[in-house]
Amino acid sequence: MDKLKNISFDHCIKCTICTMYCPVSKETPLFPGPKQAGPDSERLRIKSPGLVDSSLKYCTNCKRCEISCPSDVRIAEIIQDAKWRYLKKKFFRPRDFFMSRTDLAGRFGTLLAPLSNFFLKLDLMRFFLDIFLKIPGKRTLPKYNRTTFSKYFTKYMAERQKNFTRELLYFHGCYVNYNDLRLGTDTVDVLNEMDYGVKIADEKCCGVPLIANGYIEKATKNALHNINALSLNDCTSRIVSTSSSCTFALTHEYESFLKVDNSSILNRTSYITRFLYEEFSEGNIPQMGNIGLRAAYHSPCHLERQGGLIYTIGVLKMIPGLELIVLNSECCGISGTYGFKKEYYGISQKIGENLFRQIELAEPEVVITDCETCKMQIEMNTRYRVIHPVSIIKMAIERGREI
Amino acid sequence: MKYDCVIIGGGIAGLTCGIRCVRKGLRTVIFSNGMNSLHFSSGSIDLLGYDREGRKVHSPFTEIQNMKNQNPRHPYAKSGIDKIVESVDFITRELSQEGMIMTSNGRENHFHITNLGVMKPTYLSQENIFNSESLNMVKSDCPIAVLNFSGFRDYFPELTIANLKKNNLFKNREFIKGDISLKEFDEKRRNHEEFRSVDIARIFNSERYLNKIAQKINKISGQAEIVTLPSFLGIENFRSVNRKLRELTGKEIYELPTLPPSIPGLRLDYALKNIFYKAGGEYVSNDRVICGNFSGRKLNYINTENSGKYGISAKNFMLATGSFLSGGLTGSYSRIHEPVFGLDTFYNQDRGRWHSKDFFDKNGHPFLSFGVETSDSFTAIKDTTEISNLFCAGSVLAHYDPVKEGSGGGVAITTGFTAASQMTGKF
Ligand SMILES: Cc1cc2nc3c(=O)[nH]c(=O)nc-3n(C[C@H](O)[C@H](O)[C@H](O)COP(=O)(O)OP(=O)(O)OC[C@H]3O[C@@H](n4cnc5c(N)ncnc54)[C@H](O)[C@@H]3O)c2cc1C
Ligand code: SF4
Ligand code: SF4
Repeated sequence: MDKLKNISFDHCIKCTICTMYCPVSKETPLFPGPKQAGPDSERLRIKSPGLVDSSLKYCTNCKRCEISCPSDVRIAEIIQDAKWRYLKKKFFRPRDFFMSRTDLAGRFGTLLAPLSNFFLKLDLMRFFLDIFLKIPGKRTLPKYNRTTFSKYFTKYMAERQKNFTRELLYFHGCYVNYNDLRLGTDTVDVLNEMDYGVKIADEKCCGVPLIANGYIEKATKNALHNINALSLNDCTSRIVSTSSSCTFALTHEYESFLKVDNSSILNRTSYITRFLYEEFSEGNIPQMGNIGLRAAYHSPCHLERQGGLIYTIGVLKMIPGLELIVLNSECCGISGTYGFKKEYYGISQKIGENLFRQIELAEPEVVITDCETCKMQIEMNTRYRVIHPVSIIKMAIERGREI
Repeated sequence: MKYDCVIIGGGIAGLTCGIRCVRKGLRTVIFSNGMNSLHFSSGSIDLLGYDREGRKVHSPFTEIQNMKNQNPRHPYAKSGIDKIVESVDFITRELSQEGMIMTSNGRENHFHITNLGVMKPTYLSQENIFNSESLNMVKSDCPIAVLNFSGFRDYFPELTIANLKKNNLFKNREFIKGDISLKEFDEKRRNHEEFRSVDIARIFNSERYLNKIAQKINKISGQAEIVTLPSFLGIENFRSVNRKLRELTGKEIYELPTLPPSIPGLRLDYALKNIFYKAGGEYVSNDRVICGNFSGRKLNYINTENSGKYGISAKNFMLATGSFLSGGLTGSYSRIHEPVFGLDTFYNQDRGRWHSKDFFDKNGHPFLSFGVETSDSFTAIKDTTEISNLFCAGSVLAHYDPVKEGSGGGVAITTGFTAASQMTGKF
């Protein structure tokens, strides 16, 4: 018996509350739901490991089941673990391989941008992706930066970081690095404004897409690499990340799921708004001007799972002139790479419908959210631009300068 | 950053308090770890269903009036009749504005009918739940169809019928029993033996099969003007599902509350949370409050599992963490603890008297009335000192027995509301 590591299934009181809240079981009868796929089957799987089956793949790992469980059962983790045992049995899966290597795909994408952006828009190319990689043709795909954030930072921003009193490590993640350079530079600017000099480490993909696609060994390697890189030369600076999912990996999944010792970074790492909230509370608030904006806020599942919601809302409420409508907590449906796969595309879109309707009803000017994939999903399905909280602060700072 | 009001526990007590506070313009946050007891309840709100001798109560307010002398430490005795009326009316109004209409019988109790066919006294029930008032809607000689959805294993119509027949109201009624089956779903579902109420509620909620279902209902139920089904007729869309089914069948369709997880309870929970969100409250759904920092008679801040070195401070706090089932109270061999702050609790020193040998004892189990001690204004007591800015509400409180009295929902709403009035009064 090699693993009995997560025995939280034993605390299950069979109340079925988790299944009531699972967005996937709401939309498809093909998924038996968290209770059955998690604690119920785990009991049987421990006895006969062959019992893992393909229906587990429907789980998006959104973790809403864990949020609702009154007995602290780590349901999603049990499912991920079993899913991986099932997936390992299969051979090379080109799409999943490519998709989960966000850094590899990103490196090519950025290298070849704007060529890659051009091709990704071509119908012929979309057709090719659809047929050969099973990435649905209707799906909007991420755009690539012309240069990576880390290169840009080293070339244009690193020098001036010495001028600040305090120091901070920024874990930018793949999305900022390859797809959203602007969020990266906004973050550095905001932190500079608060007298923090920013450093970046030699980071690799945090591992979230690898875990979701069953590449556990590779994810573990990345985890070890990142922990080392972030603790280099006994570094004790605080670490911030602008991705709620990267933060969740660094602070939770490395330890609880990959069983990697993350104690050297655990207490130093926080999602950016949490850090800002603490700084703001101590009076370190950048000069901001009246932003005059009506925005709807969507809370990403993984941020909620970490209890990070109040910090983002807390920070947003301190921005002058921001009229904030907090949307009911609802899954957008994309769940990382899930919504990019042909077989789940329909389910993913249906899960998100409630949220899209809510956004339309709120009639905002923009939507704010913390998560990069939620952003893609919302931008594809509504007419609104989606902005990260840090970029909103940057806008407010600029507004302050105009006056 | 500071809150006006931090509420620990997102059950009906915490939500009532939260809604009241945001409506009064206070910056309010609720921390909750996991879902609340509404998911186990019938979705009706009981005020006082049984008297001390276990007899059904018709006029709850008269009975509560007597309570003041019999048990002055009872939460109802502390809040007083006026506050109880005000709280119940407040929540009824809020719910109806959110589209959830609650049936009541003036200031008297009415009876809702459970899935076992038993009549239970309650004060407010959701409008489509089968209750004693429903019979007034139809001819006295028409049959009643008691139906199930095939594949749903948690319900037996025969049992409902057998029990209803024992009751004078139904003694002379004719009953029709039957199963609705949907081929589409049986085939799709690989494992339909496992149908739970949620699964079926989702079929109804999608509204895709309502036409077919209505046809089947009409076919099975013949002359019946009243049709009952277990309470799974839709979740978010329950109003429109009920309306459409009534239109399509031309019959009065009612639901019977099922075993947990309870769909009517879930609807009530959704409605209360929506009201709270829309009013501008903040809700943290996955964070356990672990301790607090006190100085003298004041609670300064609390820490949660995720809050790290910075605590969360507020002018006022409220503990609404529920009873044993929700983790608001824990029992060791000889003591009852309140695990968050270690507040003073009330319990019987003699361990042998904690529960009754008979599980269904009419006098109840003494442990159900254990809980935290409070002042008359529901402020908490820690090491015999009153904490002036920490209030307690709901089933974490001592000196009442929600099960024996049938008073769970009412006490939670009344104490949540009364505590909120204390807090808002302080500004
Ligand atoms: C099976 C059953 C059926 C019932 N049926 C009915 C009925 O039909 N009608 C009726 O009126 N009443 C009924 N009741 C009683 C009624 O449901 C309860 O009395 C009432 O819901 C209690 O509400 P509450 O807000 O006090 O607590 P709860 O609803 O228990 O909520 C407490 C919340 O606090 C959270 N929590 C606990 N500790 C912490 C912590 N440290 N940090 C953060 N969060 C925490 C819990 O996770 C939970 O969400 C029933 C009760 C049960 C058990
Ligand atoms: S919510 Fe938790 S306790 Fe309830 S069935 Fe699911 S895993 Fe079990
Ligand atoms: S993680 Fe999300 S999709 Fe997976 S079982 Fe839990 S609630 Fe359902």
